[in-house]
Amino acid sequence: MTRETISAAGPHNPGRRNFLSAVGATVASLQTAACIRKPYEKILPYAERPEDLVPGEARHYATVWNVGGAVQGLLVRSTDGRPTKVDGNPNHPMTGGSTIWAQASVLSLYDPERSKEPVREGEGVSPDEAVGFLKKLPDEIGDGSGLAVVVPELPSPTADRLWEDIRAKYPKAELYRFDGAGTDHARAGAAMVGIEGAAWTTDGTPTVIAAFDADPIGTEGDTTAFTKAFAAGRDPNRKPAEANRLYVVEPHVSITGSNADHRMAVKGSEVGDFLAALAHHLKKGGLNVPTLDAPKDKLDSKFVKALAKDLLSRKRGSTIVMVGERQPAHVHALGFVLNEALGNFGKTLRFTKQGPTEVGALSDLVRRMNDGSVKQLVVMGSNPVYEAPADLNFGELFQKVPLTIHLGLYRDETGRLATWHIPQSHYLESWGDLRAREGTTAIQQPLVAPLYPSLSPIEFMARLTGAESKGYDLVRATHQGAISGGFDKRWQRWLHDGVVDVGQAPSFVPSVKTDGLAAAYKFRAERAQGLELAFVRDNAVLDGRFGNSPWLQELPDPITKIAWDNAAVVSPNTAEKIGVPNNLEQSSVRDTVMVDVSVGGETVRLPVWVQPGTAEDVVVLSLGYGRKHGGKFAKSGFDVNSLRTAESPYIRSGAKVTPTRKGYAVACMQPEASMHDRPIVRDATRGDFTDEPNFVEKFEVMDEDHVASLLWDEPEYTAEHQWALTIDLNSCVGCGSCTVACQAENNIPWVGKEDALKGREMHWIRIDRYFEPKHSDQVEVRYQPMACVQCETAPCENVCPVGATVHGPEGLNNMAYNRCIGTRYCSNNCPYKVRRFNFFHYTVRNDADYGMGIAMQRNPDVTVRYRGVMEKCTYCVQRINKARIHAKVNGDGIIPDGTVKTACQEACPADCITFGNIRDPDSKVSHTREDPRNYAVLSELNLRPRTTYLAKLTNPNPDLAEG
Amino acid sequence: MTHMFPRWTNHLPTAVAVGVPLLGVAVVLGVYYFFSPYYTDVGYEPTQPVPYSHALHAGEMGMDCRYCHNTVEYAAHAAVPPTSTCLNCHKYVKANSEKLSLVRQSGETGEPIPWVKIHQLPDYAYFNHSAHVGAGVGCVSCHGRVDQMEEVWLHEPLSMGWCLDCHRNPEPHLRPVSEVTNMAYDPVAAGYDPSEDPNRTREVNPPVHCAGCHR
Repeated sequence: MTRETISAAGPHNPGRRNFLSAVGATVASLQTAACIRKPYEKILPYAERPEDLVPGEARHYATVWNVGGAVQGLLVRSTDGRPTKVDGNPNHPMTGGSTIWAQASVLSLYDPERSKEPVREGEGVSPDEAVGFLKKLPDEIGDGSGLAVVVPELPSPTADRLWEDIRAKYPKAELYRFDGAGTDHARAGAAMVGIEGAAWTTDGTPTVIAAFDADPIGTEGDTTAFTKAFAAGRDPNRKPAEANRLYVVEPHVSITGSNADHRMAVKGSEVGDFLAALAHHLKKGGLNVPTLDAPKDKLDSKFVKALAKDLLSRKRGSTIVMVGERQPAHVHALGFVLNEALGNFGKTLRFTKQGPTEVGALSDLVRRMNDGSVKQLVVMGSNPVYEAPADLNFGELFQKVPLTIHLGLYRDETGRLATWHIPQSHYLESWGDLRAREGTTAIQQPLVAPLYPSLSPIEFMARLTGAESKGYDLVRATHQGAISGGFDKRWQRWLHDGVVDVGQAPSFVPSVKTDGLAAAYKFRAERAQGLELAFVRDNAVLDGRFGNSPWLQELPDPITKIAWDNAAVVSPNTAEKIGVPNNLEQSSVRDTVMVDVSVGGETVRLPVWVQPGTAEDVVVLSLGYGRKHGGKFAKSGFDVNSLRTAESPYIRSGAKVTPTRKGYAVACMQPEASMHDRPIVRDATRGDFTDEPNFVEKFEVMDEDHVASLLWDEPEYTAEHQWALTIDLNSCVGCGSCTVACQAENNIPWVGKEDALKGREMHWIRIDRYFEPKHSDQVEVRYQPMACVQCETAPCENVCPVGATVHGPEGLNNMAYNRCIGTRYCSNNCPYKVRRFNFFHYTVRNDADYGMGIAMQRNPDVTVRYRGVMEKCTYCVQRINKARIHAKVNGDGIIPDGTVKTACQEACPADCITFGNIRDPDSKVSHTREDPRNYAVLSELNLRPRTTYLAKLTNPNPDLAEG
Repeated sequence: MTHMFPRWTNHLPTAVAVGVPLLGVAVVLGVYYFFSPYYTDVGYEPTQPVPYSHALHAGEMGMDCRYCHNTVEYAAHAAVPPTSTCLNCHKYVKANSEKLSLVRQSGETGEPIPWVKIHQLPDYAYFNHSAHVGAGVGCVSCHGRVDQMEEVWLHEPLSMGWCLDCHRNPEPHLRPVSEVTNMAYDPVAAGYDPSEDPNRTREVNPPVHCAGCHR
């Protein structure tokens, strides 16, 4: 066009004036063309619209999934057929809110690096070819004497039924369980005391919770249900005897540990000794437990004595002793014995009969692989080549098996070595059923047809028997017999509610055998010297299965606040011994020291990170990072599996740590840990709160008369709805579900490690964590979710030169993205630092990383922001608007209390967020704002934030009071 | 001393003093009018893949808008009807018409008919039909006399200023909810007063703040 216009202006005498006028005309016409004519767009209506479908209106469907056996009922939002958001299903007994993994699972559906085609010996083949292979497979398997099947934790009635079919067809086949988030040690411990064929769950209702290296709030068990009850048990209105108290004994600071009333940092190998010491004191208190060896120093521990006394003082059956998966089986066995003695069986620890019992462990399989008796090895939905402890040498043995078949979402480390890799359907694409440990079954219904040719686990199992059944028929066949008549109607009800109302797994109260315990529980007098390694499941990527989720990679670890990486975490004292500086004091995230962690001839080099609260002489290593074939995001961090052994997969002594070079950049999103004596998070003990209910006022740094003057006119908010939000710091456990939920709801991009290092993360709601960085093994962590607090006298608004951020009549500080010119004055003037700026076109970068997938996930009700635009929390204004329109069209325009839930509120397993209208004196949020614990952060600035906080209360044991 | 400039340049300051402001005014007015959606967008009438006549269906035959745009009362979009809606009648009426070949083809293959979008808002503006219909804003207020249009064209600029004109002063544009799809109804001529309408349960109070439409 430019050339045409210029030549039109006169080719014969292209004088300066002509040239300039031609350029001017060209620019003007180009601008006219580019800016004014709206883009040419098509409307593509359905040829035949499905019944009840309203274009553009979201619908919700109930489904269910599981992580390592922890079943969660879910409600998935589908927008025009695309799943866009996952939340907990309130009908399901094991769900309150949702985990970060459930929140992020909607993104993994669209992951462009998912396995898209079957692969035979490294070559992609057509789905038909794979189908043909599976058809012929039963002939090859024969009687199954060479068949070994590795299954993940899959508590599915249909899967159980299909196992029976597989066993019937191949009587000699062997079944093994491997799941990086599984409960092998707990199961083995249960077997030691005679509990088999059972699943068990602890809700959070006990009044004394003693967690021995257990992380029921973070990475182990039915976390959301536990957290919900745990948070409810800390309600300040409870009587002192009913309020819970959490004791934690652990080597690393877990999420559970960070919420403890009393926490003791000890080596992982000593946790069992402390439990034995506890058993000793409980026996002295009159409980029927066997006598066990416990070293003297553990017996004398003030902590253990106080814990024993506290346990004995409570009502029988109202406490719980929890042992974490990182502990060996005999510690679990003792845990069961203690719970039985404390009367907790059937009360706080509930058992249901379930599952096939004859399932071997991975080490049994390796033994068979070693002697060559495995001819066909099927690995379903797990990744042992990456995750199995290195000394099993699984990868090498795997390749020696004549025929290996891998079913997986990704062609991961195991998939690459397998003879055949078959793509697995995502849970949002599959029919299935899952039974919670508590006993309730739920139907897994797909939200979309499989995006790629793939098989769901149960479909794959049916193929092993030679059947080509569809998942839908398999699941229906399982449940058809459960009721007589009217099945279809019931089935519809089950799908709608998300729970099956029949066929509960029967609950029972097992008895325990204690005879073998003393022998297994021998006190080992000699301890290996040197440093002890503690391998922990990562708070974000767990065992690595979620490694390719950029949302989870960018979610900072709740404690260390590191994103995109794992590190060798040590206490300040241990750091000094090793000879590395305390990065918390220097806060130089770009200059972290790399260390060589070596044990048993293996060495891994990774950055070292200092975290107070870590036990002395312990190096904490997060699993799940540094994957070779997990996808481009899963590559980040460092693989530490090579340092693990099968005998003790989570604890290893005798390690050496040598500092090498400086200069590794660790993307720590909050290097600052101290509040510097400012009353940001306010807390008190329950006792002090009873004596002085208005204790939060004592923290104010300026008296009210000083604060109350404004330079400008009083803002008036007269609309019928005045929105406000309160966050109860007493309930918040710091898990991060709100952050991921907000990201999914509000189309928030990820920025990648480099930009995260520059502090350019985009999370609208972050969780600030505070502790005193000077302490070494003792640490008291405080969490504070922080998003835009919607100040009534917002300082950001005064400085915006273009009026892109202005107040609405309902008290919201609105963002008009299209007006924003990116001066960032607002962010500079925001005392809470909650405004986020698109330094680059992160959205387009995400598109490039994720292909069309991320576009499919995006919420069409929220604007996708451009480069150079400021953004922040809007209290999910799209949800408010939707509710308002509904109220206006169908009634008097008043939105009833509880109708609008913000994304963070919906996701929160601890119910710590309350949102509503403060013009309505009966709304829940009005009540929470009248709570004596209610306070505003930075109240001295007179910003009158609409988000306020309820102070935290701790419940320390008076016997352990300091001094 | 010779004149450095020719004589006519003496008039230059006057010409500049008068001309430049005039030019400025002309540019401002020109941009104001010619760059505005009143000029650039109103009248936009793309050719549609099927020569569907609203004048025939909605005008002559008097079909209600909601027969096809059936989600308008409870959803943000007044959805363009699926092909099956067309075929409800055209299975029997003009079943072999050449003009309807694309419709029949779509019905057979399931491929959508690629209609061209006329009423287009930017992606950051969230318009909701149900809210407007529920408040008694007639179709004709934004879409014009569609019942007289052979092929639909854009009747109003759909600019933010145009939206706000009504949001700031909605009364003249309101009508009884029962008359929403009545293209010929004129609330002024009918002497309609929303405050007297017994069917209205609440005052119409449209948002004029940013987050009302932008989020």
